[in-house]
Amino acid sequence: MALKNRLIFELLFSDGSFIQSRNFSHQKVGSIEWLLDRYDLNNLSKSVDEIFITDLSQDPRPSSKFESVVAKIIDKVRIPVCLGGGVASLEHANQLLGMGADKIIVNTGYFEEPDQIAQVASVHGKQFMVLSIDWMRDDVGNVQLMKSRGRTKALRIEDVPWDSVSQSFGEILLRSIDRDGTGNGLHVDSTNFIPSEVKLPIVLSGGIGKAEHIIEGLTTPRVSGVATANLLNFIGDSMGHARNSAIEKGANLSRF
Amino acid sequence: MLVHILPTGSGNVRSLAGALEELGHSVANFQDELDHKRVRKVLIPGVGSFALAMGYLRSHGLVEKTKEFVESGGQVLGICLGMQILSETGFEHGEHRGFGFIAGTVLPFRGNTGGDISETHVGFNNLEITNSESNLLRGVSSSEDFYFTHSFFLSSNSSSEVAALSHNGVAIAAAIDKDNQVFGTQFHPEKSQDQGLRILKNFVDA
Repeated sequence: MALKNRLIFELLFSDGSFIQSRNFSHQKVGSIEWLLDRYDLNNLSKSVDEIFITDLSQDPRPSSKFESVVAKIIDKVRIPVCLGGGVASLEHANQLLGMGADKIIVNTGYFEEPDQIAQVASVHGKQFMVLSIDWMRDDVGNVQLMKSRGRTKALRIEDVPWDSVSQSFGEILLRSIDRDGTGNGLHVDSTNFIPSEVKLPIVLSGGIGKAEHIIEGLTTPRVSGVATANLLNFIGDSMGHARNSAIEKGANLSRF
Repeated sequence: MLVHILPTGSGNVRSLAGALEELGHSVANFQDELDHKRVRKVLIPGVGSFALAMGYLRSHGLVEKTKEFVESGGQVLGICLGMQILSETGFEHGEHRGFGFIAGTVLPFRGNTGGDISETHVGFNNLEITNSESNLLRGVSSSEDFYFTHSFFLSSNSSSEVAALSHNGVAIAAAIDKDNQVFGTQFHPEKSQDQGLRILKNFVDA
């Protein structure tokens, strides 16, 4: 018994549509009506441990459309919901909390407004904060973190001040840009990028296309959870089937 | 039944209110309640920091109001940070006084646990029930999982007040029950599927 791992469903929203991302290139898939029609949220909330919803709309964020779709989702599920997208101030964090966020996801804001983000952590507690880092290998094979929707270089992985990260964040969402949306499986070795002294739970994202990838991720040491933003492969009952299949094959997930 | 929620300046009230309404109860704000005879159950939700929550409650006269409520026999349920502030002292950004209903202190995982123990306890975890008589845990099995997300934990000084533990490499107080009056859950019952709703129902029925 004891602590279980997590299967997390990610929803990416941009200016009215939920999107499918592939190597951070976006394709519109459908509106909130499409989502509610294809996914039974009640069912979904018995198939995943948490839902992450990110606002990738044009600034200013959070957009009113984002607020509206979050309201339609959050009241239908009784599981943790994490919200993010452009968070770089206490005010923005408070808005997300008001929308019902159990945790917030911070990416670019950490690199560009570190003092503001530290303030959010100080007010709301680090367990409220998920650091989302998007990585890719540059031309010479270094692991490069990206920000601003994956368009601008942030830090090299070896330059990340992990001690300060540990003070402001409760967990790390590590996303492979190269695997994003490809359905080719998670980059499970990426847990090695984070020094073993860093005692924060790690969630891997980028590349899940089927149940086998979920199982592989959840049976990798140091992985606390896996996240998929794959909007098309787990429609209807498929997420539930994937979860059950993962449990049968040894993944340490809660049985709902 | 009408149940009251105590605001702490930063709590996720929406989910908790929704869960209570799903159970058929109506929800009011304890801070705004003028008729103390209407108040029988108070829930204290939890997101935030110990110091800021207690600071907010003090500056709004809510510490005294809550203590009077408990002294007159009222029942409270603290959730996550809400449970932590029921204790004597919290050590988040300095030393801060809590309500003092529960014997113990609130400490960070960071620096207080050794080895590979994570600084954040996040995810679904099951309970080791230590007080099977507790009304809060009626019908709860030790194989059911509840959602935790915290980086501080209650270090209890009175095992009779702890109703259940959870294990994350270290044993932590997961549920408290003092005299069937002061209750707390470190986990979020409003985020813990049907078994979580059962905990809320147990509190309202207790």
